[in-house]
Amino acid sequence: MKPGMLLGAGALLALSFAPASARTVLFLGSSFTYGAHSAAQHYHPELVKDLNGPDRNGETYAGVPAIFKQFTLEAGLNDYDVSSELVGGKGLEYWFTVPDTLARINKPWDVVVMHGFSTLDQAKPGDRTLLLSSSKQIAAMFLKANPNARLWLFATWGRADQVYPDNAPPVWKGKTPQQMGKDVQAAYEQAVKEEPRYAGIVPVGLAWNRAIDSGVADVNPYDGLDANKVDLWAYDHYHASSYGYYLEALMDFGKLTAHDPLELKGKDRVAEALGISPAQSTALMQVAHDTLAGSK
Amino acid sequence: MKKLALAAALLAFVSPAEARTILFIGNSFTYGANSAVHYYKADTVTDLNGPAANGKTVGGVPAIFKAFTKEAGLDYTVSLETVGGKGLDYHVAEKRAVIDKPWDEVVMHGYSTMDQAHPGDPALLIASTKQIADLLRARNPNVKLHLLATWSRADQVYPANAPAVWKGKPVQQMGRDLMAGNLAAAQGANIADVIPLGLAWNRAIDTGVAGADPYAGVPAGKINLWTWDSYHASAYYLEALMDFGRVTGRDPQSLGDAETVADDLGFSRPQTHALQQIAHDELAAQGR
Repeated sequence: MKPGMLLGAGALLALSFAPASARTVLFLGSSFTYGAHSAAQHYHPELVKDLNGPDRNGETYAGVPAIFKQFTLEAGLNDYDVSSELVGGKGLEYWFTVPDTLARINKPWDVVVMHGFSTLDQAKPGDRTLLLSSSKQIAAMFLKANPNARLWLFATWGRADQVYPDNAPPVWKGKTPQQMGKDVQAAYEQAVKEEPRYAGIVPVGLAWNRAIDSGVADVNPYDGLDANKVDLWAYDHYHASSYGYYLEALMDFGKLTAHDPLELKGKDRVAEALGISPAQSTALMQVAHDTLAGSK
Repeated sequence: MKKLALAAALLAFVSPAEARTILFIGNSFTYGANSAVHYYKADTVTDLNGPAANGKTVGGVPAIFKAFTKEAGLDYTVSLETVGGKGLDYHVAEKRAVIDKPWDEVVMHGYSTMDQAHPGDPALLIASTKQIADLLRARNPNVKLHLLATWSRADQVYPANAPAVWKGKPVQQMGRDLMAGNLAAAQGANIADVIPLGLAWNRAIDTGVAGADPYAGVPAGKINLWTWDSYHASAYYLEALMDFGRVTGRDPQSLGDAETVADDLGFSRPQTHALQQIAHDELAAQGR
């Protein structure tokens, strides 16, 4: 072996352990990332930096970014420096309308994971036009700040409240939640096709579909919960339950670190803290594993 | 003069020096096993047993109680001493060093079947309640003691391999039997208050707020009071409401359905309203 190679390996090791060379990750999103209506919202806020600071109750958001950070620690990855910028009910276009917030996020992040509004466009549900333009615009901003930034789009889940209720908007009403998940995924796929500098998609909606199709999760929360299944949705059948946010964080972990979510089996402590059983935790890891295997 | 007295009373009420001390003695049913309650706001209470093997201390039901009292403008210094799977006999034998203090209030409960070796037999609960009451009163003769009567365990009723005592009976029967056992234990130890949590649990089922059989799934619009093991609770929130009502004398409904703990734990406002209504109704039915 050449001496230079050894030095290179040594330098690489030093880099991966030194705090100065920590990988900075920004989670940019809405209630679907901060864990609204579930205990995930308050799961160890001290693990992450909420760029918005304390809310009116004096609390900062933990949510999926904190669960992701905990997963990295459990996997022995100690160099993820996780921040979040999260505002409920917003899409990617929103960040360009708030100059102070924009200044906070316009930084040379190593990794950014972000998502649009859950119906693609709040004013025009199902219309991907705004997602396509705003995802291009925001990618350009982050890549200008750091040309090597790895940018991920988190494709969100099918909302039961858009499918089942009589007063649901027409676009997904009467269809399955899986169909909404597929449509949202297709829109994000087009966004990545049109802006190939994205590292890729975190297909959370497809993971939800797989959980439902494989019998781990219930398909319709309006008719009760089947025995031995989990409800991925919160009480509003719109946001996620702790199970849903846990699955979201597993998918982020798998895509961002390239580690298999099943590596966390037997090590993970998030599940216990959220009231998820070991068997449910393993089932959700398997769903994440299978979805990632299918999306490579 | 009257004004001065009122001012003094007010001052005493808000002064940190005058905070009432309360100790929770129990097991997983108080530390909130298998739910997000376990580590909820652990920094607001003192876990007398210190960090567990995972480095964490308990928040549990005591932390919810603490949050409720803060919301109600009351001042309690909250401590807890909890060990999974134990009855009051264990705490007397093994935890005397940490619980033997002059507390103002103590909320405590036995093992979930009254006696782990002899499910349904109240003898051990009756004997150990007397022992722990004597121990606590020796330190503070004025300590207010509350005995918490816990809930029916679905896992003792429905599974084919459940022990004989409650197997196949209506799910509410275990809660009624636990209430009777705790009333006997309270009488033997001259304790005025038995917190009827198990009866509140039954009321939630009887009024259609909660499902009766988690092994059959959860009916639309209902809460599952149990967590994934159909043994421990998902509705520790109801436990804390009952403790709050009996310890402070305040109506659990005075907290309102916009109070923050419910939201933190993922309960909707209608669910919160329903659980507070259950606590209110059960306390009213018991004459409080």
